Amino acid sequence: MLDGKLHLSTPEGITLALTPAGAARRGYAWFVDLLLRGVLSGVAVGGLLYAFGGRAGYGLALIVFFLMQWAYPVVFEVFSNGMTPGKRWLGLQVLREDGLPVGWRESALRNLLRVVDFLPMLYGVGLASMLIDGQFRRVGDIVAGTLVVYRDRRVRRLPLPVDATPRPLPFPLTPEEQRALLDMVERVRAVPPQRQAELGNLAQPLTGLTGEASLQRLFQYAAGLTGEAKP
Amino acid sequence: MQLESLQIDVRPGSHWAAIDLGQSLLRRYWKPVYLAWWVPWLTLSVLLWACLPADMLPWGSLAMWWLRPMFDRLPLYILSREVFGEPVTAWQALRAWPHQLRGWARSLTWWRPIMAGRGLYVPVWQLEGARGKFATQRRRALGARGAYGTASWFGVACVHFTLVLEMALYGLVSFFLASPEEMNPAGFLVTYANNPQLLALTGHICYTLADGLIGPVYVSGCFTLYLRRRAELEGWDIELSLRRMAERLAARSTALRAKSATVGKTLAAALVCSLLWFAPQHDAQAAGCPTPDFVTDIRKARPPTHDASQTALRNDLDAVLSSDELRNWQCQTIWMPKKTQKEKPGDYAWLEKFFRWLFGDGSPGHHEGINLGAVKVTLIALLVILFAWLLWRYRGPLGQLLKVAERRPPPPEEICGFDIRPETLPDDVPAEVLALWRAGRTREALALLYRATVSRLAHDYAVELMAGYTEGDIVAACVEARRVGALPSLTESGCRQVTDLWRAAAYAARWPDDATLIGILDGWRSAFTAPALKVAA
Repeated sequence: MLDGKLHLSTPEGITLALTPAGAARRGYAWFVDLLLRGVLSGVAVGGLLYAFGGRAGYGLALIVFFLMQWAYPVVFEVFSNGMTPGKRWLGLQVLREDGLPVGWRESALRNLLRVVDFLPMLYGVGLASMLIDGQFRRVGDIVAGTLVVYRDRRVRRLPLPVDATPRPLPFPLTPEEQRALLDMVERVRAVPPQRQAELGNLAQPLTGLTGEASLQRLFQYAAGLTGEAKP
Repeated sequence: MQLESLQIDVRPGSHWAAIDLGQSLLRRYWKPVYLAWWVPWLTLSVLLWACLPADMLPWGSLAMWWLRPMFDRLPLYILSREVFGEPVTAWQALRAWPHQLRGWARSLTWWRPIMAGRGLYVPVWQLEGARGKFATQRRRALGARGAYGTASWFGVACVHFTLVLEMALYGLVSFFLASPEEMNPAGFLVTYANNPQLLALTGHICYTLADGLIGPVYVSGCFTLYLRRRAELEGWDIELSLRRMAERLAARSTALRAKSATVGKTLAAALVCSLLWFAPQHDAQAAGCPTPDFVTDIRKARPPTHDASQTALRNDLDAVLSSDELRNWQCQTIWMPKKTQKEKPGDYAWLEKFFRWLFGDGSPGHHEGINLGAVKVTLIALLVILFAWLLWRYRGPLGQLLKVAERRPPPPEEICGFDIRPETLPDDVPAEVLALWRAGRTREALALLYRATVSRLAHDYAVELMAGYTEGDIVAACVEARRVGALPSLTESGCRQVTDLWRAAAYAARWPDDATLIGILDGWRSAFTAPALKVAA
């Protein structure tokens, strides 16, 4: 089963699922960062040239330009939880392969190797590497042992869609099945009515009913699981 | 459409993650997809290059770009079948292609070729076969909640990927053409700026390569986005989990019925209640599965029963232990190849070629006056003999090298609470044992005998023993060592004898008489101290 995720197990037996981000989304994040860096460097260089003028201003501007090129991604990734402003905006995050936050070493390595990824022109090597690699890593990521993943969104649990009187389950369900049941109850109203009836019929072995009545019974089971029924 | 055989996870997630899933799907089925794409793609490219005059070639590249929607249907045909577990070869896809091209005029006109998110809507036409107003409705439903926007952004990104790859190819060529002092990735374009014919040709080649790589990426990304959207709209994952639950319920109720016939109801209920939580999911087919051999072997190896009640008890236990929740084996129906794969004919072709070269008509030795072939064979034979002799001559050092790799960790110092280091044992073990026995310290005597036995096994015969082994484990290790020929059978039987003696004495306080002990000690001397049988540790 392909789910596009990387499942990591902690020693406590907890499974963490990371979703590596593909080349397109990362490209947009890079582009946003590029624009931002351009604007920032432009403002800073203009200001310095205006304030100091001549060769001193020019020298300082070069330093600013250098820092924008090389320090910007590293500093943001280390101090901002693996996110440059572009990555933050597009919901991406840099992590180590084991799911831990990136440190100076990883961040510096992956950003230094941008030079390799940029070869021969405009990230040709990086793009090829991202298309070939199973976790969309460019050469810098592979060397530094980092991943770019989608940041987890905070999930807002929808309220159960009906007032149902709680009911015990007809037979014990495994934790995955309980989760699937709740998920199903939250989303079943989003599908067209005919399909809802079909799903109700599919649930007949569990509920002993058909159609809408079967769905209502599922809602009752779900209310029994969550204990969140309305009076 | 068999949802059960779906190869990808369709639980709802972000649209971008769905698009990235397409990349994973493409990586799994890249061979047929790229083969099917490249056969007509390359043909068209070569034809255009051959037919068009050199200064018209950019229009040829443009025509290829414009015909992209036609090529998009090939990967879609393959992936839409592979994703439901139906294997498709590139050849099948190419055969089906003309039939899949219906509506070509429609998709090549108006704004449709330049729609960045068109990949999301292609399946509506090609796979669902929707037309007219219904198709418009379908497209609106699928593209809602930002899906079309995401597909469009992905399309824009793919256009840029094509450009990036083209530029990278230009850069690569420039690097190879430039001298080390003046590396410039745009060097090629700058140098040949005044040669439009060459630029048109390289542009055509670069476009063919780049879009031939990115095209399937775009199609597969849009296809998985389409699948996720459809699954979300129609509750595919809900259906899947409902079906799985119903299946498990059915398997469980048949298992329950079978059990209640054999075991008392209370026991069954208690077992089911307590163990259902840990029960792994089994297929419905598992219910009517024959008992595997290793289980029947274990059952056969048991000693015969004393009476009818024990037989009945055993049957009950077997029935409980082979129930769905308790058994440690699983039954699955899988496909196996009827024949194992034939050896590829090309594997030894080089050897055949070599011999032909050596002995055949055209061989180098034949057109000389003397038969050089025989000389060649002699020389090769001498070389082989020399190599074999070298191996034999340096077998000592080579053997040392191998031995280093096989070195095992030293045996533990203590097993079963006994100190088994050889230096703690007296020189003449049987004499010492007998002396202790005569002095009335029977327990100490037998303990020393057993300790010496284990020590010899571990140190002299290199039987692999672990610190946590019990007496039974040690006997089992001896049996295994004798089976592989590392232990003489005399020593193995000696070990059994001493173990039985020690167990009977230590745990049941059944002491042997003097004659038995002396007999065993004599046997021990020959079994454990025969220097000819010693294996270097």
